[in-house]
Amino acid sequence: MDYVAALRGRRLMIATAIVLAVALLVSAVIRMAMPHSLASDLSFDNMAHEKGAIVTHTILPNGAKKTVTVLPKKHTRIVAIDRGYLGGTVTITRPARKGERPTKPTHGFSFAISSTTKTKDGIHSSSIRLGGRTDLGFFSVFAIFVGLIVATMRALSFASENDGHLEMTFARPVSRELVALRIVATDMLTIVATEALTIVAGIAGLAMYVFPSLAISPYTAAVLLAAVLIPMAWYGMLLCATASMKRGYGIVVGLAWPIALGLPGVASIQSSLPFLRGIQVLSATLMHIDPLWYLHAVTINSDESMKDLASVWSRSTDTALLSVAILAVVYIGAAMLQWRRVEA
Amino acid sequence: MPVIFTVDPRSGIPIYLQIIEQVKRSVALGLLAPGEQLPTVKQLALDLTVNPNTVARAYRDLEHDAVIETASGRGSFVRANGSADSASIAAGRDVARSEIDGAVRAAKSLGLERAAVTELFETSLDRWLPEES
Amino acid sequence: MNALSIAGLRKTYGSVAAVDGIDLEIPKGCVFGLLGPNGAGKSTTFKCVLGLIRASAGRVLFAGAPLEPGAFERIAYVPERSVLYDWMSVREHIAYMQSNFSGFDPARARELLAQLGVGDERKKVRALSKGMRTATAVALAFARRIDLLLLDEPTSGLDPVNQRTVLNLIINEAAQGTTVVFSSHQIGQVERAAERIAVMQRGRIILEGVVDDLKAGRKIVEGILPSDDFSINGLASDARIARLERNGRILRAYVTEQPDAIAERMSALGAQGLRVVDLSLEDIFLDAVAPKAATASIVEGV
Repeated sequence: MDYVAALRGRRLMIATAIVLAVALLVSAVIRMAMPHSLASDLSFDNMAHEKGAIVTHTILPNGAKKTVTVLPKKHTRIVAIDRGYLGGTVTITRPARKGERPTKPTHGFSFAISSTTKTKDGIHSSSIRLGGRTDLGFFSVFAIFVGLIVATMRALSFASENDGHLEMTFARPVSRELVALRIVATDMLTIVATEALTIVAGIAGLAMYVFPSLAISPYTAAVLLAAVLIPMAWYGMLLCATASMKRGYGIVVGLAWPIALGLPGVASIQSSLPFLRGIQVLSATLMHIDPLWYLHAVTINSDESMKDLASVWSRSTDTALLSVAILAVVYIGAAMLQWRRVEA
Repeated sequence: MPVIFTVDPRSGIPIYLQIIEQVKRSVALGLLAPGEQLPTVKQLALDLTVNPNTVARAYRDLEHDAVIETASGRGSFVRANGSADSASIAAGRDVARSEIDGAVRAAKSLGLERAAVTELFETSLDRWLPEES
Repeated sequence: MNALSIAGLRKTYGSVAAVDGIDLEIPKGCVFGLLGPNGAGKSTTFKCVLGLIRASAGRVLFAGAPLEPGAFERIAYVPERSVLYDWMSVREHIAYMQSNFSGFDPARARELLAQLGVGDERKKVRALSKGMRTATAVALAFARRIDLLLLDEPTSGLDPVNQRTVLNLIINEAAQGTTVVFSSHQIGQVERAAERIAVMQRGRIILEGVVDDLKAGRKIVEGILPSDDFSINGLASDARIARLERNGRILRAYVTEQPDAIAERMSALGAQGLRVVDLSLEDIFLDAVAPKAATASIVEGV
């Protein structure tokens, strides 16, 4: 562990913890202002007030509240089972419209964990499950973005040492390589620790709304691995870009995000102009060494069901993660090689 | 330690020579008694804010001139052998010698002949060390 | 085997040689003063010696061996400008030193910091004045058990009391056998603490020697000649005379050794009123780097 990097890392973690705590606090305040029943958050609730709606309330043996809303004119039937904190389900059945394809039902503010729709025998039914099991990987996706921000800030480790501290950094009874390795290890620890904090905060946030039952799937493994590798590769890339710089390194980091995010867009330019075509080809190539591009392998739409999640874990994710791992190692290695040669 | 030495680093005279002269002067005047211990090299270096090796060199030369003696591990002491006055006399002689030598040189460079210088010496002697009748 | 042995050290930036062939042998336990005008290459020399800058040529040995990272356990270096971390407190720097050097004594560091007037150790370095930053760096360095101490302007920005304190710290280290190499513009300090010195100018060493010997040898021998056109044969060719100046009847010889012998010679050649003028280290230094523009005519072939 490198003392200075650890000190900087600790400050970052405290800052992150404070931000997360504030977010949780806001979330708690909003939650307390909300009515208790989840099902009532749903926009279907409006339907209950439509003309001609027949609403029936029952209490099930397990204590759940069952609300059946029938709209005779629309031949629509809405069954909502509200188990309060433990979640619930809402099922909407209605005749399928001509040429209708199954679409996701809209819902309100509440925490939809999974939803399915199908059309069969002319009946369109959609079901939303609230408070079902949440894949741990879901939180990790958010954590990756926090990890990327932390990685960006830590990536100036070498450059900030170059900026007037090398006489102290290198005049130690440790080889330069080992100093570099310690710094990188400490920074990676900071990144992973802040991500872990974020995941914990995410689960805590969920727990305010529904009982947090977590699931682990191959998807989880993929995202957790990506949560370590993608920020690591991003850190490595910026570290490598700034390893020999003594000044102006902030600009490099500042430009990195827009460029990295913009590359896929530029790479999809369709043009016959040779100049633009050249830029397009260049961007398409550079995309593959842009760690941010690999986020596509693990970020998913939160609406997808558990079944869909499992299918995410496929060959393409394997290669994506391997590529990111290679990028990480190459970038960090190149950064360390550069830093060995820096002069005080 | 009652005797306090001072040195002038800016003087063209090497510091170690200044120390030597001051020790000899102190011994000659009895400020340093025979057998009395001198400050350690380290202590004197710190007191005078000068390099310890400079002090060490001065002590070495003083030992060579038989003004002090160094017992390893115990320190440096003013020599106390036989006649109690021998060390102080030797020291006094050394200091006086360099003063007188310098005076004769100065007189010569001002163009005085031997006879004139001798006459000046006689006058000074009569003044300061009159012969007891 | 000397504590530090430098041979043929050279560092060029493009076509400019910041260090242009330095040879130095510094024995163990010596206090070595490095003098020179700004830009002479003193700082660059320090950094090349420590491998913080890659030398263009030359060989440096520490107690007979080339520098390897482990050696830094017993070497302390205080550079010219502050390399402390602005955003860290003094206390955090103490922890930093502790985690990096096994020979570091935090209690001694605190003692020295107090002595030098660095008060609250919770203060961040950016809140310290330049002098206090120097004092902090010095205190941290002296709180370690070391064999070699390299100080680049250790008293810059310090008030006179602190300057004297640092000087005493150097002398104390020297008394324990530590080898100290320090550069300074305060020639008075170098005069006191240093046993040997080297004067650098434009990347080269223009003067080197034991301070006492330099002072004993380098003097001005002045004599009065009988008349304005009195000729002094062959004096100028004396190898012990660096420079000979004549202003009418006044003859001045800047000698490098044996001033008394030169005085004898001048006297024998007819000069009178011989005077041997002592030179302080500052005089010797200034004469080496910026010889006085001759108000007299430089004597040739006299």
